[in-house]
Amino acid sequence: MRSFESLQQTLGEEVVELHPPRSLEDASLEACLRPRDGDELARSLAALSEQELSVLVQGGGSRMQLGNPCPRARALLSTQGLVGIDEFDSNDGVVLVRAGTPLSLLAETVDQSGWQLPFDPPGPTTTVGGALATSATGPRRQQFGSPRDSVLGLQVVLSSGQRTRCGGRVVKNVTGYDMAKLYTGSFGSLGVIEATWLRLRPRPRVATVARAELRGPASESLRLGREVSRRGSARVVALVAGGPAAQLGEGSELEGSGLLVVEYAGDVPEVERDIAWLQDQCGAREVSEESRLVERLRALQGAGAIRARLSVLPSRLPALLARLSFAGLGTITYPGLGVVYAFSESGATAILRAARASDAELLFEALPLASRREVDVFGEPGPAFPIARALKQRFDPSGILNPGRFQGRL
Amino acid sequence: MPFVPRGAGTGLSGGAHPVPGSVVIECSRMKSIVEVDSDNRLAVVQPGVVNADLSAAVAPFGLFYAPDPSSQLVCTIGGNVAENSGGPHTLKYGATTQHVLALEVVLPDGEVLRLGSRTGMASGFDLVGAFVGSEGTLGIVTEVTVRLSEIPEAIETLLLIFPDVVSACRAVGDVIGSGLVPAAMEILDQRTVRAVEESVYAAGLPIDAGAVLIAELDGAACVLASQVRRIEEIASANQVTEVRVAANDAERALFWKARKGAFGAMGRLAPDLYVHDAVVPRARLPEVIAKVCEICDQHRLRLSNVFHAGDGNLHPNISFDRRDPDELKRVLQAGSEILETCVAAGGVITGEHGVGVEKRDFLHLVFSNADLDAMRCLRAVFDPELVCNPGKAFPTTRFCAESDPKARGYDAVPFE
Repeated sequence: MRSFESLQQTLGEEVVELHPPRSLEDASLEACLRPRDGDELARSLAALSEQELSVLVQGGGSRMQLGNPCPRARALLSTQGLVGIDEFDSNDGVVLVRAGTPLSLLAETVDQSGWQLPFDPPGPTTTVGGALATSATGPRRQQFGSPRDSVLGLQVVLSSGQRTRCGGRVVKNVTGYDMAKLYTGSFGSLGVIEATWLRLRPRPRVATVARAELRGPASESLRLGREVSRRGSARVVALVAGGPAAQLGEGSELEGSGLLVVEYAGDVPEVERDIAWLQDQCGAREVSEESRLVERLRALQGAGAIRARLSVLPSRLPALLARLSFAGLGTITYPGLGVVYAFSESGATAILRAARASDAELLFEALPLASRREVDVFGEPGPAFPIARALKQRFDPSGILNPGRFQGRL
Repeated sequence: MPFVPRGAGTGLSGGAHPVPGSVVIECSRMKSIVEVDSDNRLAVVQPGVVNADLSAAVAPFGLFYAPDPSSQLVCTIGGNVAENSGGPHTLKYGATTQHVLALEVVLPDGEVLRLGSRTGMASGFDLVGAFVGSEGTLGIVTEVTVRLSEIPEAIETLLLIFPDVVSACRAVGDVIGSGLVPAAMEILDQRTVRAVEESVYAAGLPIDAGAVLIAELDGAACVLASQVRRIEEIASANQVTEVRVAANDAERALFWKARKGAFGAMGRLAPDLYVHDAVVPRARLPEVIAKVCEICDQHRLRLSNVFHAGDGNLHPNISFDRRDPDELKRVLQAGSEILETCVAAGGVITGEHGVGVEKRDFLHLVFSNADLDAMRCLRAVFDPELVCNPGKAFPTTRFCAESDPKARGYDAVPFE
C-alpha cells in the first residue's frame, strides 16, 4: 500500500484512486489511475516505472477478455479520461482524436460532416485507443481493411513516461520508421496510445442491406460470398451458420448452409446493379433499415463466452468451415477475408482442433480465465518471437505495461 | 562489416548510396516471380523483380500490383519495400505497406526470418509493417508476398486546364472534400507544361496553361459518368478553362505521357535537377504552393512543380547547374526553406522518397529526440551493431540541420 500512497501523493487524488484489492484478469488491483491529459498520463507512467508497479491498461473495457491473464498488474490504468477531438478537418477527412474517446462519440461528429469511421468493431463502449491497441474490426472490414491502414499517426507514451509521436496528420508519409504499425495491435505492451490521427472514409451516397437463406452446400455459399466480396460496393459480406444464424434469422430454424448478409455502399447505380445481381443469383431480398441487421451481426460477432477468430486463405475456407460445422460450432464467416468467427458453448478444444487441422491462424477473442491460463489466446508464437521479446525488453524494460498479456505472455 | 542493400538504385534520397568502408549487396539478381496465386490474389516474388514486370505477369489473371512509382519500369519490389514506395495511384490504393502481406528477411547476423503471413492476419507485433519503409536499415528482404488488386472494370481520365496552380489545388481540395475518391489526381504547373511541350514527351497541352490537373477515376462503369460530371462541376467553380475527357486508351496514355515524361523533360532545362518531396494537409496545398514559388523566386531559382495533389504530396523541382557554387548554395537553402514551410503547415519532409542521406538532418523538423529514440529502439532490436545501411534514415547529429551540402549527398563535383 505504501507505494500506491506515494503514487497518489505524486500524482494527486484526482488521478489515483486507491481501493481495497479487487481481482481482474488474475491481477489483484489496488488502485485505478485516470489521467486526464497526455501530461498526466506521462507523469503516471514515469511514476509507475520508477516504483516498478505494473498496470493493466484499459480503454472502454469492451475487450478485456481478449488477452492472456495479467497476474503481475497491481493497478488499472484507464485512458477514459483522455477524451476529445483535437482537430477535425472536414475538407480533408482527417481527425486528431484522444485515445479514450468512445468510437460512438467520434462517429457522431464525423457522420455529420460527410465522413465515416474507418472501422466498426463491436462493443458500445469501445474507445479509439482500445480499438487500435487491439486492432479491432467489425463486419465492414471487407471494405475498410485493417485499422492499421487508417492510422496516419500516433501519440504514444512509453513506459518511461516519455511522450512520443510517429507518423503525422498527412495521408502519405515515409518520414521515419512506421512505428504506428508496431503499436497498432500490440495490446498496450509497448506503450500507451494517447491520441491518433485517423484517415476517415467518405460516407457513401447510399447503403442497402440484403439477406438470403442459402440452401446449397457450404462450398457453393462460400463461392458466392467470395464473388460478392469482389464488388467494390460490398461493405459487408457475411455467411452466418448455426446458433448466430438462428439469432439473426428471427428465431426460425435455417436449413442448408446458412444466412448470407450483404451490405452494399456506394453510388446509387452501382448499388442497384449489384443488388439486382445478388437477387438473381440467390433470391436475396433487401431488408428494412429498422431490422438493423448489420448492427445485430456486429453485436453477435462480439458475443459469446468462447469465441475465436480463425484465418486462412479464402480458397481454404471450405475445409475449415466443414470442420467447424462438423464440430457443431456456430460461425460467422467473412468469405472475402478468409476469416471465420467460431462460437463454442463447450470449451475451446473443438476450435483448437479445427484450427490445427486446417492450419488456420487463431485468436481467441473470448475464453474463460481458467482456459486462458493454459492456452495462449494469440496462438503459440512463431520463429520471430525472439524479436518480439527483445522489443518488449527495449520499450518496457521493467515490464510495467500489461505484463503477460500479449502473445507469448510478454 | 557494414553493408548497403541495393535494388535498382532509382531511389531519390540516396538510400542505396554506398558509404565508405561498406559492401554493397546487390539484390537485382534475385528476380524470379516464385508464385502467383490468382485465386487468393497474391504473389510471392524475389526482391529483384521489377515493379512493372509483376503487373505484366499477373495481367492475364485480371490482376495488377497497385503501387506504381514513376520509376516502375526499372525499380524493384525489394527497393519498393525498403522505401514504402508510393506513386500516382496511392491516392486510392495506398502505398507499398498496404500491399505487403509477408516477408522473408535476412538480419545483419545472417539469421533468416519469416515475418507476417499470407493471410495478412498473423498475430503478434506487426513486424512486416515496421520493416516496410525502414530504408534497408533493419535487414535485407529476400522474398516478398504481395497482395494483388483486380484491374478495375472501367477507367475515366480527365485533363483539366486551370489559369494558375492555386486554383487547380483548390479544385483538388474540393474533390476530396466532396467525398469522391479518385484513383489519382496529379498537377503540372506552367513551367512543367512548357518543358513537357517543348520536349519529346509533348502531349498537346496548351503551352500557356497555368496548370494542368490529371484526374483519374476507376471502378464500376455505371457510376463513372456521374463522377466525371461531379469533377467537372467542381472544376468549373474553380475557374477551369478547359476539360478534356480521354475518349479511349490512346488518349489516356497521351495524358499520362505528359505526367510521366515531366522529369525527363526537365532534363532539358538545366544540367541538374533537385526533385523535392514533401507532404502537407491537402487543404493547405494552395497556400503552401504559393509560398514555395515565393521561396524559389527569392533565391532566383528555376522551379517547376509536378505533384500528387490528391495526397498533398508536393514535388517542387529545382533546375540548376552544380558547376555554379553560388547557385548550388541557393538550391540547398531554398530546399531547407521549402521543408520548413511544409512542416509549419502541418506536413512532413518526405511522402515517398524516404529520408536516406538527403533528409537525415532534417528529421528534427518533424521529430523530437524522444521520437527518434523510440525508432532507435526498434532498430537496435534488428541491427544492434548498426552495420545495416549505416548513416541513412537517422540524423548524423543530435542537433539542428547540417549546412554542409556534402552531408546531404551533394558533392560539388565538377560536371563533365
